Amino acid sequence: MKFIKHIHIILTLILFSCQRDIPYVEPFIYNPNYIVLEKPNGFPQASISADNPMTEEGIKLGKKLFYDPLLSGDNTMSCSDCHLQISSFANNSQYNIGIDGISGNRNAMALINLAWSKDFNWNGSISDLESQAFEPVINPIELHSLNWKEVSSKLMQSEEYKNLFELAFNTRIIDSTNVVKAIAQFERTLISADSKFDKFLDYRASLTPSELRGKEIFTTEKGDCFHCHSYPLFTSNDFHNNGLDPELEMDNGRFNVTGDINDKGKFKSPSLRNIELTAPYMHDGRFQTLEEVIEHYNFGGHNSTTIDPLMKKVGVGLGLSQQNKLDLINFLKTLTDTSFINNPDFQP
Amino acid sequence: MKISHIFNLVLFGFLLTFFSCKEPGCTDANAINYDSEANENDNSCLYNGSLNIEFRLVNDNQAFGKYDTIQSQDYSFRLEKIKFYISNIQLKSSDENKFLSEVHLYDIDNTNSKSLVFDLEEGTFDSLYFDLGLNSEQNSTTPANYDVNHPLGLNQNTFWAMEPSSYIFVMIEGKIDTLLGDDYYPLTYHLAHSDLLRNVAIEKPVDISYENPSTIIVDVDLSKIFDSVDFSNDLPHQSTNNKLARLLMDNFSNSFEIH
Repeated sequence: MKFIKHIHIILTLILFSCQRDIPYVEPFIYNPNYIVLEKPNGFPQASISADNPMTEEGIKLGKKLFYDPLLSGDNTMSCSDCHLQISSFANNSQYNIGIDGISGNRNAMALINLAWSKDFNWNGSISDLESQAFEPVINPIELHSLNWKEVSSKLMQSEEYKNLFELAFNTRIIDSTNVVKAIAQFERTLISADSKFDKFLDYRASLTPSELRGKEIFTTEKGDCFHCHSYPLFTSNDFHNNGLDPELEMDNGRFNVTGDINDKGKFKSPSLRNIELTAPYMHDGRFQTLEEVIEHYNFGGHNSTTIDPLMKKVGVGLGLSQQNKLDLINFLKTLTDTSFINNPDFQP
Repeated sequence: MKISHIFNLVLFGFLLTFFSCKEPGCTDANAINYDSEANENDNSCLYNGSLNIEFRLVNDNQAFGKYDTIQSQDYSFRLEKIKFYISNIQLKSSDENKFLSEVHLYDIDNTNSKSLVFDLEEGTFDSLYFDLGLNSEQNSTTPANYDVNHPLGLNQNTFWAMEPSSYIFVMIEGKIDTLLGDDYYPLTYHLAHSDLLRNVAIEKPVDISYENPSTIIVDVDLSKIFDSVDFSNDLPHQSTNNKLARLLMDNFSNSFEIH
């Protein structure tokens, strides 16, 4: 009996003496830093998706993903290759070329003030910002990843990404939903509202006589730009046929989304903020310069069944003089926000 | 203990139990004064009635929609967009005015904007009243003051921001052919000026009762809007109170009829 008792003691000592020291790991506590998006003067509060609140961690992760070529099939191309900060997150090529050398057929839209936008892409094919990034990542003429499973798998090989996703979304499992949510959070921070014109409205700057004349043209029947490019966003976020082509040559435009024949030739009016930086212009980048754009409207555009009712001078033209056109361009240049294109918070 | 004493005690206990648990009140969960602690209905329940106000575009009493065409002797107009603000919406009677809503935007592209539903206390009224447009207090605000989807919010695209700024009270856009040769050209009327506010009163007996939801169908007869309009006159689109704008607002305010 005594021997058995001793055996128990000896075995117990052996068992505990062989235990390795288990280091203490702090349990992870999900505690993101929520932020409220800046509301510039003249802007309403942005509408943020309830299932994707803005956090510092989400924005940081989204920026990293935005600039990461891992999202492309051959790891060479990122969102930032088509959306360059220097061009107001648009692109100065008519069309962009994907990783397979295939050209698209749409000019890259500027990523600007998206927190106040809706119906994304030129034809409004995507209704919310969270959904917008899904398609380019797997599109064969863009980043052309095989599928989102492939993208997630690559990201999961990075301990850094797993940590960042845990901080942002309380999970170390990386999937497409959280990738696009993070990108959307970052994109919502791309706010431009400090142009010379904004400063003018705040009495922080004055416009030259030419710029003032241009403003008059922009906001009255003389140019009538304001209806489709209204303050503060300088877009109506609506779809218009602005008479680019005759009826039989029109691009389908929004019709490809709605199937409504009355939407043929209609495209989303882009924001004119930073328009000086985002050439070429229109959905197909057909106009290289602002002068060409103004000349299109000065000519009046092509009438068609779906021409926008706001194109009141279709077939007749605006009748702008050379001085008028120069003044209008000078006004458009007051919409340039240099702080936006140089903001270090938007850089990797 | 005597049997009679036992009986009295039992009876007393029974009565005490029975009456002490009775909580009179309104026991109907659908009532506006429902009392969750009540267990005996005392017939005090009060109910709201339901009122639905529906706006319907018509042309000569026929339903009219987007991309439909008004044909007259002098012109043919194809409607593509119509938006209008109504505000200060009330039911009126000789005894009281029942305020319904501060502001509403009708938008032909927004199905939800074509009707309004209210829960109201039961009552009887003689007329529906509203303003076509916005009062000066409302018109001195901007979309920056509202949620983007509010009737006065940014997503409505009804605000003219440049001086003098104003909301567009009535927006009519489409294509017109004045030569009647199938040759349509753009036509837009944007009516924006505080002085263009119009009052609209439509006499219509309305009974609000719990048992029978009430519906008022308000027809907007578009054929009346262009009465006496000279289409060769242009309408300046900055906020303005000119003769053509006043005529259009007068015509529009006269176009509302109870179906």
